Amino acid sequence: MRQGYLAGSFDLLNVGDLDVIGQVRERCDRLVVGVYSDGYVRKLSGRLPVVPLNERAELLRHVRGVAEVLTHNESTDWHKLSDYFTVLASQDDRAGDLAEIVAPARQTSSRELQAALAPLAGAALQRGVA
Amino acid sequence: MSGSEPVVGYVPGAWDMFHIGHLNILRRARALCDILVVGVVTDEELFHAKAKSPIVPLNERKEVVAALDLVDRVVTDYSTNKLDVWQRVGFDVLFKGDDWRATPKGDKLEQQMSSVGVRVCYFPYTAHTSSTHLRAMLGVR
Repeated sequence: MRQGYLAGSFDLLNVGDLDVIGQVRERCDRLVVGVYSDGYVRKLSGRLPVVPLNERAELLRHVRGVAEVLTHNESTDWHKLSDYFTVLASQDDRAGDLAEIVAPARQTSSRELQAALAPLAGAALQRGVA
Repeated sequence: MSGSEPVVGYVPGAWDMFHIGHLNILRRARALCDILVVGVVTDEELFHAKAKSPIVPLNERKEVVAALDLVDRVVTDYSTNKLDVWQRVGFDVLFKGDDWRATPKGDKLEQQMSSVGVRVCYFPYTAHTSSTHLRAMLGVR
C-alpha cells in the first residue's frame, strides 16, 4: 500500500487546499496530512494562523480522502517519515530534497482570503515556489 | 432512525469561510438523519438577508462543503422560501438554529414546513459568532 504524507498549514480551508489534497491523494492509497502547529506557521510566515491548530486539524479529519491527521512542526523528522511513506509532499521547501513541493493548481477567488493567506503564500514564493 | 425509509435531513446555511462552528452543526445534523443534504445560500440571497456579501463565492463554498465526509449531497439554496428547495430536494427534517425558535419567522417556517409534512428541528447555533470573529480577523465587516 502506498501511503502519502502531505504537510501544510491549511489555514482558512479553501478550494486551493482541496486541490493540493486531491493531487497527493490521487498518487497514494492512504493519505495522512501533517498540519503545521501554530508556532511553526508563525516561524514560516511571521504571524500566527487565523485558525488555531486544533480547529484546522478537526476540519481536515472530515475531508474526504484524508485518513489521518497529525501535527507537523519543526522537529518533525522527514527522514523518519520517509521510512513509512512512499509519497512525501509539502506546501513549502523545508523538507529539503525529501519531499516534493506541491503547489495548488487553483486558488480561491476570494480577495479577502487571498490577503489573509498572503504571509504564508509569500513565504513559499520567496523560496521559489510557484 | 425508525422505519424503513431513510430520513432525509436538510440544513441550509452560508457556510462562509467554513470553520469549526459549521462543522459542529453538520455533525449534529448528521446524527439526526440518515441522508444529510446541505443547502448553500447564494451570494445574492445572503446580501439580501444580511446586507453583506460572503467572503467566499457560492461555487467555492459549495465545493468545501461537498468535500466533507459528513455530507451526502450539496444543493444551491436560492430562496428564503424553504418550500422552493423542498420541492427540489424532498427532505423530511429541516435543521435550523435555535435563534429562530419561538420567533415569528420560526413559527411561519414551521407552519410552511408542516404543510408538506416536514419537521423543523432546532439546535444551538453558534456559527454566527465564529463567522463574525473570522470576518474581524480578516478586517472585513
